[in-house]
Amino acid sequence: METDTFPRRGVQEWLDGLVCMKVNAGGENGHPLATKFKVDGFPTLVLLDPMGKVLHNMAGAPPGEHFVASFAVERYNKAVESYNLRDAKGAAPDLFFVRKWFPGTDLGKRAEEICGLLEKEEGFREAYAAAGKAHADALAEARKAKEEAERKEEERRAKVKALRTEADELYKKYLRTKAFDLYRRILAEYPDTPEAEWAESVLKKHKQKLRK
Amino acid sequence: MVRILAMGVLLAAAARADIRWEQDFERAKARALAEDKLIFIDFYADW
Repeated sequence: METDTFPRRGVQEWLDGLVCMKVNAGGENGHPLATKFKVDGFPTLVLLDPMGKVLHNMAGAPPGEHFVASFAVERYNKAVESYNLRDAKGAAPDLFFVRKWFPGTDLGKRAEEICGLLEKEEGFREAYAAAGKAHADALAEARKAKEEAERKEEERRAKVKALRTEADELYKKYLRTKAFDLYRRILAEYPDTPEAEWAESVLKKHKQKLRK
Repeated sequence: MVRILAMGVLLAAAARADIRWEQDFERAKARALAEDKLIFIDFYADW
């Protein structure tokens, strides 16, 4: 792959337009990701759309000259099948897919040609535009969901920080029972935060003191 | 002339620049979503 496929001009040009990752499936960081994608042979090539949906997950790399096409060929063939059945509307989503994700490649160019041939067929333009809009909508929705999740996470962080400050102050004022209740709450409601780690250490110290 | 030649060499080198490999999956996902790009993952084993 490294020496015979990636450096090929067409392959590199295509990969340049993607977000690429090389993952050592046996490594500490790579193992969870390999498990997530059920990797059990090497190399395994996974292709995801911008929303994180799996488009391809295949073990074994196709030979250099077929590398890029192997990711597009299924949708391209579907488009050709629709074209042969004179189903211009049916071909539109597949043609959009191939043109959108494989521009400048062999199949991308051929998909463009087919679009040219179908341009005047009834409903083709609308169907093609609808495929584009469906993608744009899904992208916008995923971006919004991500922003929302980030906002919520920020709120959560701020809340747990405030709770810790409150607990620490109670502790300093020797209102220990109230402070320990708050630390316990932090531990229960906000695990995997630095504040929970702190709460755990304070409670542990307190237990050790009690034992003495 | 030399300068033009040198620039040509530099441009050729830039065109053949290596692919930028992302290290972190969360970052890769964020970039793909922000830039409307596909994510390509090459799983390999070094054992």
